Amino acid sequence: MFFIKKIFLFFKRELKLFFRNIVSIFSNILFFFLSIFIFVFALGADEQNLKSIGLGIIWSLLVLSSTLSLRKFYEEDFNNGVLVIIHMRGISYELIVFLKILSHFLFVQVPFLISIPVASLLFNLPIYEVYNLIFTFIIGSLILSCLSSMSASMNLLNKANFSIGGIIVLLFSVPVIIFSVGINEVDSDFKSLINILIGMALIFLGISPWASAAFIKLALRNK
Amino acid sequence: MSLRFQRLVLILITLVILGAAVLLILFNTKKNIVFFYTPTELIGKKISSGDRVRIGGFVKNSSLKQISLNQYEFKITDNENDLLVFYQGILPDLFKEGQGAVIEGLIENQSTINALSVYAKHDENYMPASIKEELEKNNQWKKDYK
Amino acid sequence: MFGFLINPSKFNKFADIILKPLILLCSVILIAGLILVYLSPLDYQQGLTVKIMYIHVPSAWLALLTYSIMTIYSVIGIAFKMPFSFIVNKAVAPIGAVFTLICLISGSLWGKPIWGTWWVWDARLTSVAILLLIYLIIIFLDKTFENKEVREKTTAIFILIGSVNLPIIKFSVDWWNTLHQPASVSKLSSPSIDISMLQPLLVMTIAFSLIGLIIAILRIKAEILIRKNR
Repeated sequence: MFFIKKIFLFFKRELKLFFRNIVSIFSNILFFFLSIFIFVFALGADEQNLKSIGLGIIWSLLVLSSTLSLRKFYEEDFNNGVLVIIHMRGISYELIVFLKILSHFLFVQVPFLISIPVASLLFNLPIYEVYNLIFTFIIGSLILSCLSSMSASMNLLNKANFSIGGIIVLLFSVPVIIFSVGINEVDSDFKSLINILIGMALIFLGISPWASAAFIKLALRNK
Repeated sequence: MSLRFQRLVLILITLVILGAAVLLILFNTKKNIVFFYTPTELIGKKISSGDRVRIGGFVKNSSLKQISLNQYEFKITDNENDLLVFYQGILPDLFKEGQGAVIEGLIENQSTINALSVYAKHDENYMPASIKEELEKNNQWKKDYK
Repeated sequence: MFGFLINPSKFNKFADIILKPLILLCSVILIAGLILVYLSPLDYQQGLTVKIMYIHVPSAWLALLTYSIMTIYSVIGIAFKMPFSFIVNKAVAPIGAVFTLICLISGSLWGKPIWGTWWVWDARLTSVAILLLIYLIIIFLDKTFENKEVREKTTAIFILIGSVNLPIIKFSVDWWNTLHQPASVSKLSSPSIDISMLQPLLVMTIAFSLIGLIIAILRIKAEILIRKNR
């Protein structure tokens, strides 16, 4: 019981932080929309053309925008020592990472879901593509949260080269993009692609707590 | 819960998750993300004219016709179904009848495709030219389509 | 007996003994390989173009081999805390990157006359391109952090995560239909490549691996020296 209360307190704190940082999350969404505008003007507003490439643009911009908030993932908690305090209370680093991934998924990625229908409206996407997009994004954003966790914890002590964190997220999101956009190919087998996506999400969910916890311990030791 | 116990539980959960993931992926090894379809696969799909597809197969024997300079017409087969292909452009060196090829193009109707680009596909067999001549001389040269 | 594989001073001693004979052997095998390639017969379909294979295939194999070695050393380094494995990782990564680059460039030069295109986005080509990116990230990661322990361990963990790509590269031609042809030499049934072409290929592979080995030994020795003097 005591343990569940700790987890509950963790999420309560994350929720508080979410409301404090709500402006930065909406700035990310604003970045997403502005990039869509830039894409549309760069490619020319040809409706047929946009319809055929809209899904790919939306997905790649979602990935790009999710790298924006990368540094926020652990840095604050790391610098003011909250990570150590939570650990002292008796939660292992692996579990902290897992909870962090969940809260990142809930408080950073899910708000993007609001923007997806509007974005698809801008591209005149057919309705089944919008459903597919939302469905794949729910799974894909979980993978993105795992990736962000790994790359953010990797770069905790990185003071020189900021872009490498984003590069790592982009690199590992390549298979996510391939499979999520592949769902809308002429005739793909929806169920088996979704299963593969879920499989990838599970793999990253399994790996990232261990990798991130190793990185965090490494960074704490050399702080 | 002590840290040690937590870690034990987490290891177990991780193993279960990874196992489930491997099962999910292994049971979906159907060819999902393909570079090309075969003609038979294409017939089973719902496609409309104007769709951009890639088709792979073998160039059917005695089907390659040169309509004019740089304009070709040939059939792509997988030994079950054929597709008629029109192509305007330069064919790669290796492109021959009986040879594998991948066509990227726009579908015109159920059995015709306007190719935008043609790639020759070569198989994993390497053999000196002299040996092939000898095999042909002894009538042992057999090219199978699979 | 195999202490030189994990102990810097033993490695140094072993390297001093083996380096000169190795260079001699390498140059002999390389010259023999080049002569064999020159004498090797033309392919029944591709003609002269097939000779690109004698560069393309060995460099592709060595790119994968180098990454596998780095993966093994990363496991050793993280599990048993052996500093030598991080030295190896740092020394070997650029070699693998160069082999991958050679593989991609020669493959591109091969693809244009045979397939009719420099580059296609099929599974094999894409996964090898990702391998090159991973190599580059490994090299960059090594230059990013100031702290030595962080730098080494981060790189090692990243190498482990990136090793997911190895089976994808190997089996991409079997799992998906690709423009790239399936494996000729390393398949379960007998290799579908004629013996007169297999011989120069294998000799060239040995020559390439010796070149890689010599550069690796020199780089590892230099790295050990740098760390000693710091």
